[in-house]
Amino acid sequence: MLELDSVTVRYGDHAALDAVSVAVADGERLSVLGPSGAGKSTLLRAVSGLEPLAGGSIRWRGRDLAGVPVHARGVGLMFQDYVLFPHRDVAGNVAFGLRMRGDRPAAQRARVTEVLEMVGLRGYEPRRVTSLSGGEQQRVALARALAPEPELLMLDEPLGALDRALRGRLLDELSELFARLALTIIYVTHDRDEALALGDRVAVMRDGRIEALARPDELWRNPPSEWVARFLGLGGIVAASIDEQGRASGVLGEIQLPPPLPPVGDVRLLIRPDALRLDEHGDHRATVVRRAFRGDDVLLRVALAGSDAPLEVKVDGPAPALGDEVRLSIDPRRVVVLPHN
Amino acid sequence: MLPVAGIVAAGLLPAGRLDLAAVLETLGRPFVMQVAWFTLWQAVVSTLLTVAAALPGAYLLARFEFPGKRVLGALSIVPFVLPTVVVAAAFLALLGPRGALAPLGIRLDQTIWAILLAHVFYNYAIVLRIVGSVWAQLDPRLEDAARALGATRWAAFRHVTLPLLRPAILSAASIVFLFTFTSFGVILLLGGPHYATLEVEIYRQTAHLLELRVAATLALLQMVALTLLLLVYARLQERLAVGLRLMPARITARQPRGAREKAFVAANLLFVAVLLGLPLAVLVERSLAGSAGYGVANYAALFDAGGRGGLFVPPLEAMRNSLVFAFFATALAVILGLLAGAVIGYRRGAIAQGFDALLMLPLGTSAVIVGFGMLLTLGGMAAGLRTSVLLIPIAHALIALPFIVRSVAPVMRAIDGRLREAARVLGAPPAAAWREVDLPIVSRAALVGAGFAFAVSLGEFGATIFIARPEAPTMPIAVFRLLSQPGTLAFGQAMAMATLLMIVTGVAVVLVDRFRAGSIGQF
Repeated sequence: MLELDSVTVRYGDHAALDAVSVAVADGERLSVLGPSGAGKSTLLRAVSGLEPLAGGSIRWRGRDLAGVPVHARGVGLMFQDYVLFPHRDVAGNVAFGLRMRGDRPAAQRARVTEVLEMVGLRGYEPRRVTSLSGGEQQRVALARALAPEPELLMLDEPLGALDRALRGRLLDELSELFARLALTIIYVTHDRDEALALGDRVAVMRDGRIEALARPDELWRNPPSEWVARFLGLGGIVAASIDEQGRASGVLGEIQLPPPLPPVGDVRLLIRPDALRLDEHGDHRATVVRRAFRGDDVLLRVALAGSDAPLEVKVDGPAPALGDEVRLSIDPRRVVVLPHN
Repeated sequence: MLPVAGIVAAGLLPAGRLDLAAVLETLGRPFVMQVAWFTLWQAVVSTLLTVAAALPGAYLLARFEFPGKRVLGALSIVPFVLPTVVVAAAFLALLGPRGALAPLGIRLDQTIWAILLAHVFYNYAIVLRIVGSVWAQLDPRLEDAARALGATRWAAFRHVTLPLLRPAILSAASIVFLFTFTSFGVILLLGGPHYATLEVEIYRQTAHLLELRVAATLALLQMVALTLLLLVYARLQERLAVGLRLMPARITARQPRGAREKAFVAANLLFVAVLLGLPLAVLVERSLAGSAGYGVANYAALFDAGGRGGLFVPPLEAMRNSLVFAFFATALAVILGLLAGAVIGYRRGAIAQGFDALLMLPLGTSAVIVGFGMLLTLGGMAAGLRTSVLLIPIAHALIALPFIVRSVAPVMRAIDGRLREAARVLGAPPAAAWREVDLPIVSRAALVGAGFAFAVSLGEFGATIFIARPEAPTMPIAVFRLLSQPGTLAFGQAMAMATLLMIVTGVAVVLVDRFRAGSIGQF
C-alpha cells in the first residue's frame, strides 16, 4: 500500500501540493485528474522523490520513504513527453534501469526483448529514439519504465501528446496491459474519459488539493461539488432553493425532489442530459442554441426562457434545428443536488 | 585577467602613479586619430561587403537542394578558421609582387582592396552559416502567404523574409565587424606600411619603436572600443530576439526549378568557387612553383634540416613547435572550458551571466591584446615564466577558451533536466545520472570545441608574435618571417609552409564539422 499523509510541496510561497492525503492499495489503479497546474505531476514527483516534501510523509508498504533517494525507491515513472535519452537507441533506453541495478548483459537483452514485445515493438532494439513516431516513443517510454519490474508504476499524461485515434487504441492496450501485470498504478491525466476508463478510483485535483476521490461511477452519479461537476462536464447547472418539503424552486419552476430529503436552503442543481427529455407537453420552454450531431445521437444545447444557464439534452432520431423553440420535461429522480460553494 | 590588468597599469600608471595627462597627450596625437578612423571605416566597409556577398549564398544553402551541397557547406567554413597568415599569404600569392596575377599587371597588395577582399574571404562563412541556418528554418509558407496576398517576389522578401532574418543578419554582421575591427595579421601582411589598425599600430609601437607606453595607451583605447561594441551587441541581441517558429531545414529546401533558378544556383557556386577557392588554389600553385618550374623544391627546402632559409631554426622545428603547443593549449583549454561551461551551463542568475561575459573577454579583447598584455605583465615577473615554453600554450588556451565554452555551455544548458531525473528514477545515483546523461552529450560538444581550439592554436598569430622566442617560432611566425624576407626561395618556402598549415587546420576543421549537426554555435 502507498500512503500519502498530508503531503505538502512548496515552490517558493506557492503550495503545489497542499496537505494531500490518499492511500493506494496494492494492485489498485488510481487515476489523478485535474486541470493543468493542479499539482498532478507534482504528486508523482513527490512520490518518486524528485520533489522534497515541505510537510507530511509518504509510506510504501509501511516504510517511510523520507531519506530514501530517488534511485533507491524502485518506482517506475513514465514522464510527460517521455524524456527518452536522445543519445541512446531503443535498447539502450529500455535497458537503462536494468544496467543501473547491475543486471548481466545477457539478462538485460532478454528482458529488453520481453518488454518490447509486451508493448508491441518487437525488433525495435537498434532504432534511434529520435526517428520514432509519437506513438512508438510512448511505447518505448512505457517499456523503459516497466523493464526493471517496478511494483508501483506512475504515468504522467502518457497519451497527452498523441492524436485522438491513436489515443483510443493505446488506451485499450494500456488497460489490458495493466490488468495483466497487476501493478499498483497512478495514472495522471487531464482527460476525463481516460481517467474514468482506467482508474479503479479517480482523484480529482484542484489547486494542490484532492477535491474528490471516488470510484468512477460514484463520481459520475454524485459529484461532490459544483466545481467537480463542471470540470467533468456533466451537464447544465442551475440555481435553486429547497424548502422543507423537498421542493426545489428556481428558473426551472418548481420540482418535487424524491426522497431522501435534500438539505434546505440555496443549492445548485445538476441537470444531466439524461434528466431531460424533449416533450411537446413539457413544462419548460427553451431555444436550441447549439446542435452537434454525434453519430448515435444529437446533443442539443438549449437556453431556458428567462435563464442564461444552458442545459444539454440528447435526442435520438429527428432533432429540431438551430433556433427552434422546444419544450422539455425533467425527470426529478435524475436531478442531482450539489452543495452550494 | 592578468594581461588586461597589465595593460591598464602600463597605460595609466607609466611611472608608478596615475598620469592622465600623458594618456591624453598620446591620444591627442594626429596619427592616433588616423589609425582609429581607419580601423573603424575599414571594419564598416568590410562588414557591408561581406554581408552583401554572402546573402545570396545563404539563400542558396537555405532554399535549394543541389549536388555537393553538404560538401560546400563544410568547405565554406574552412576560410573562417584558416590562420590569418595563411589568408594573407594566399592573397599575396594571388595579388602580390610575385603573385599569379602580377604578370597581367594586377597588383593589389599594399592597397585597401587587398585588405577588403581578404576580409570578405575570411568572414564569408560567418554570414553564410548564421543567416543561412536561420533562413533554412524559416517557414517558406510565410513567403507563400505574402505572395498569395498579392506581394511580388521582391516585396515578399522585403516585407516578410528580410524582417525575420534581420536579427540573424545583424548578429552575423556584428561578429564580422568585431573580427575586422581587430584584424591584425591580414593588415600587417597585406597593408604594407601605409595601413595600420589599432592592433597593427600596437605591434609597431612595441616591436619597432619600443614605445611600450604608447602601445599600452592604444591597447586601452582598443579595449574601451571593444567593450562598447560588445555591450551594443548584447543589447541588440536582446532587442531583436523574435519568437520564430522554426522548422527542420530539410523540408524547406528543394531542387531549383526553371532556367532562372538554375542560373542563380550556378552563378552562386561560381562566385563561391572564385572567392573562396581561387586564393587557396593559387597559394598551392605558388608553393609548387620554383625557379626551375613546378616541383616540390620549396617543400624539400622546408624539410632540409641544414637549410635554415633565414629562420633561426630549421623550418621543421617550427612545425614541431606548433603541434606541441597546440596539443597542450587544447588540453588546457578543454579542462578550463568544461569547468567554466559547467558554471555557466548549470547555474542561473547574475553570477553565471557575469562569468559568461568575463570569459568572452579574450575573444573580445583580441589576440594582440592578450599577447601584448602577457608581454607587459610577465616582463616584471619571474624570468622563468616569461621565457618558459608554457607561455605560448597558456596564451593560446586563453584565446581558444571562449570557443570551447561557447560550444559546451549551450549544450549543458540545453540538456533537459528531466533526462537526469529519468535516469535517477530508473535507479541511477546522482553521479551515475550525470555520467550517463550529461557526459555523452557534452563530450561531443567538447570534442568539437577541442578541434576548434586545436585549429586556433595552430594558426594563432597575433598573441604569439609578441611572446614567441626567436629560437622557438611556430608555423605562422615562420610564414611571417619568411614573407618579410627578400628572395624567391623565401617566398616559395613561405607559400609551402602556409600550404601545410592550411592543410593541417583545414583537415582538423572539416573533421570537426562532420561531427556536429548544426551551425557554428553561438559566439
